[in-house]
Amino acid sequence: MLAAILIAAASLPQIPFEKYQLPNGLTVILSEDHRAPVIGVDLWYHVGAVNERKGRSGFAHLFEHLMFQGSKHLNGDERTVFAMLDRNGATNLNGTTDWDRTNYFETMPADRLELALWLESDRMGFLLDTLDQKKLDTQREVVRNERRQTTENVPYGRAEERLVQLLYPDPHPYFGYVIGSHQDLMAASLGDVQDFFRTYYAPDNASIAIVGDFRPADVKPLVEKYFGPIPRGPQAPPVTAKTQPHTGEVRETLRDQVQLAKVLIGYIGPKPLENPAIGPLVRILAGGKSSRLYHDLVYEKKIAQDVSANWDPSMQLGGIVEITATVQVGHTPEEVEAALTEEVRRLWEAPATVEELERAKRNLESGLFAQLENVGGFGGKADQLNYYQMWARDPGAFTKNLDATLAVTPAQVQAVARQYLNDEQRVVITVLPEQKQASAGGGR
Amino acid sequence: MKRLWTVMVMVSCASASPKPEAQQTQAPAGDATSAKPQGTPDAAFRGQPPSPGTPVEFHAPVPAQLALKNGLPVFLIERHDVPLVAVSLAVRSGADTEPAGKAGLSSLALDLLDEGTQSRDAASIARGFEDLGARYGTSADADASRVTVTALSDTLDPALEIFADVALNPAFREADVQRVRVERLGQIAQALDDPSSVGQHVLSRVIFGEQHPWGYPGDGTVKSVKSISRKDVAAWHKAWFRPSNAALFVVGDTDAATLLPLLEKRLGGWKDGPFPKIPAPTRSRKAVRVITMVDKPDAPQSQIWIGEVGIASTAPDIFPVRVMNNILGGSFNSRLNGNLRTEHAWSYGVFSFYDTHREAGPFAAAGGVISEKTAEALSEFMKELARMKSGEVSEEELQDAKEGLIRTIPALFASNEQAAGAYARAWSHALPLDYYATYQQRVGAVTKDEVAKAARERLHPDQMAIVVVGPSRQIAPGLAALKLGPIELRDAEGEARKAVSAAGGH
Repeated sequence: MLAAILIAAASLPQIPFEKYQLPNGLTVILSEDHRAPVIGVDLWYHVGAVNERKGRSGFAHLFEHLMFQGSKHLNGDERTVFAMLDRNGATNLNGTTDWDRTNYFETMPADRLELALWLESDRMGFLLDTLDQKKLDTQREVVRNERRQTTENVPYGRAEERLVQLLYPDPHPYFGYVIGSHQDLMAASLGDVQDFFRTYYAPDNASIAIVGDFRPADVKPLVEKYFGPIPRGPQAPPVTAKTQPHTGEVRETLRDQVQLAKVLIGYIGPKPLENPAIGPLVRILAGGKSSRLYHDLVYEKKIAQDVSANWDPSMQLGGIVEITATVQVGHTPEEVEAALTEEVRRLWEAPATVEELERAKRNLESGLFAQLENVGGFGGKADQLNYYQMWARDPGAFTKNLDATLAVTPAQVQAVARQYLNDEQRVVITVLPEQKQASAGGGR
Repeated sequence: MKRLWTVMVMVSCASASPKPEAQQTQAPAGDATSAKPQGTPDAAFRGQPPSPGTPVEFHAPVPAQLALKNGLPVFLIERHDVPLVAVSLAVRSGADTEPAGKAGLSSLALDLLDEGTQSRDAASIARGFEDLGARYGTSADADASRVTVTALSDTLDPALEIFADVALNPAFREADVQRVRVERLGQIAQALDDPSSVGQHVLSRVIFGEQHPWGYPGDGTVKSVKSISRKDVAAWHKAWFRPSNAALFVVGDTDAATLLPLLEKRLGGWKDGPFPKIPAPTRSRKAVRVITMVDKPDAPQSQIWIGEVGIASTAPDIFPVRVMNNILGGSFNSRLNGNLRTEHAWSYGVFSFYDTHREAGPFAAAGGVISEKTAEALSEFMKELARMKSGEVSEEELQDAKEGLIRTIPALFASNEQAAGAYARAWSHALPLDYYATYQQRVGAVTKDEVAKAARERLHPDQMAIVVVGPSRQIAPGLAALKLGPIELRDAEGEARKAVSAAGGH
């Protein structure tokens, strides 16, 4: 039955592209897409939390905020930059900082591509000309508020941070959880900003993807005009940090202002593009209502409120595999942990069934189709091209990776579980309610 | 969950801007200025932003209007660039049709659709969709319900078969109702732990009151959900899920000749019937403005939610109001965000919005601020609301706000799912079929006087409800000193706590 509904290989998601390099080392990736009169512009700098020095956790992300505070020819503050983009019809604009990379993107009306190139080249070439202590101080506070809002003042936020800290103990560069500590953010100086910019924000440490309604012959001279004169940077220092494998289970119990307990289990999984079986594996575990964890813990045993399983595909020092379950009222974290452990054990004791593996692949594929509907923005075509450029030095690895994923066998899923999801290598965090709150969620 | 750290808080989708780039004359502090070790050579062409080319006009796709023999309207937009078809069944009833004491009924019914039909159980429905690579979902709205599926075009028919079965023949088995009810209670508990969601819900309670369904969260309350029976759910579905109260939106890789026979086969047997009569919901709100405080001990941030009943989607001044809101708090460069984030650095981001429906939904101005500055931040919120109400708007603010709204429209149609959703919402909100096609023109026509009039007539800062979720012991004295009204304490569900002094505490 499954064979009958597999779509032909010809209709697999794909992204045609052209890639070249400017003499200063900037990698340029162009991809035509004429469905709508818009163009996605997406710059990836190969710098992230992994490059932070000791005592400066959170710095890569703080720096990202500073990239929106104006530059020599767009003098002002963040309102100036956003106003210029907004006024010219930019959508899907943002900057994001991750463990190993930082990106800046905007989708422009097709006639305004040049404005985006002007802006991006100005902040790559001339950021420090207008950057001052006041901008640093303001954004430092904004970022500390971001930390409060998204980590400290949300349910289970601190547990998520703690999981990372236990998996990658200090002085591992991932220990800072990208957002960093208040103390380290307070320590960041204007000198740090200048050093960081000069070291990492150079054309030879970046790639730009331009995807949308344009002709390459028109765009190439513009890219050359705006980015060509920016000189190469110094050789960025290599990442020397190593991830030490865990040799025994690490456990911690936290209290939080929550009503339901939660169990989080983390493992250090594969690096980017290291093992194609990990995507199907997490999907088999917790992708959708037919997944093992949902079916077993939520539907059958009714001991969990919700379940999740994820692998972070963007960590060069080993991507987190995180499995979580929120404990249903009337049940205990111990029951839930035992059930999660049992399901993980099932993965390495026996291969997945062909049926569930095919289902997992099918859904990964249709998810990709949906992502590729956007030229830019989070996870759109431009992000995909940059991702494969960064990790495989080849945007075309998108197709190779998809092919490899669709070819994964049950035995490979079993092997990846055995390699990475071992009890002695895991971190288990249990979050317990801080106090009895009588108002809701009580037993029935 | 994968988390990305972003420069911009992701709340509302709208955005536009004040402030020209030229003005800043202050020289940069510090010494070192030039960029790279050897620096990027400056050039004349960098001095000014390049001028745009010929503007590309955007024409929102307008769906073709079809119908099934049983009267169900079908709206189709053909798009063949990716092999996906998005289908959205919209029903013009949601939380607004929930009987008193049954808050959460409509969303619970939607959650239960895929938990079992006359011929399928939950597991086979889930497997059925997933085997086809189809994504199924529902959304419960204040006055509408939507059931959606996105399928690969070559598996549209089998996906539609399960979709129609789920939407039309849910079994609502007792065991499934019980299980989903428990899950819902868990979701409610989780929402009560989240200060931002608490702020929003308590604000709704204050402005709509206890008699109105919109005074309660869409998920319901612990009490209401416990009271919802299998019978309630089945009755609600039977009453409101009918062809004359619904419309189907299809966007993607199909055409009318292919689609209509499939739909007739799957949805043609759907029967109509008479509508139940229900009383119109009534709003109630205390005459005196108070500051409602919800205690979140030791929280590093306070969530501030200020609001009132806003406007209906079909209000004659809807476009001036939207432009006005964009200037106030509807964009990154809005007055509120510029003040509380860029000027004062007390917040990661604040915003305002009008939630519009066939009847007036809430207006809110809101955001998280550092606890120590709660009173100061609230005071700045109130200042900006009063300044907006005065109606003074610069030409530049007006142009930027209009531009910002106009340019959000193409993004609504970026994917098939988004396009289907956009039209399903417009239909649910009783907006005309040319709403998106004429949107840009109607926004473009808004004048400064109209915005000023909208601000004067629609904003009532002196009467707006104020909700603060934060560490009450720490922030209450400062809030009291603002003299915006007496302070009352409520719990996270919006129920009044025993009278407590302004000093808060527990």
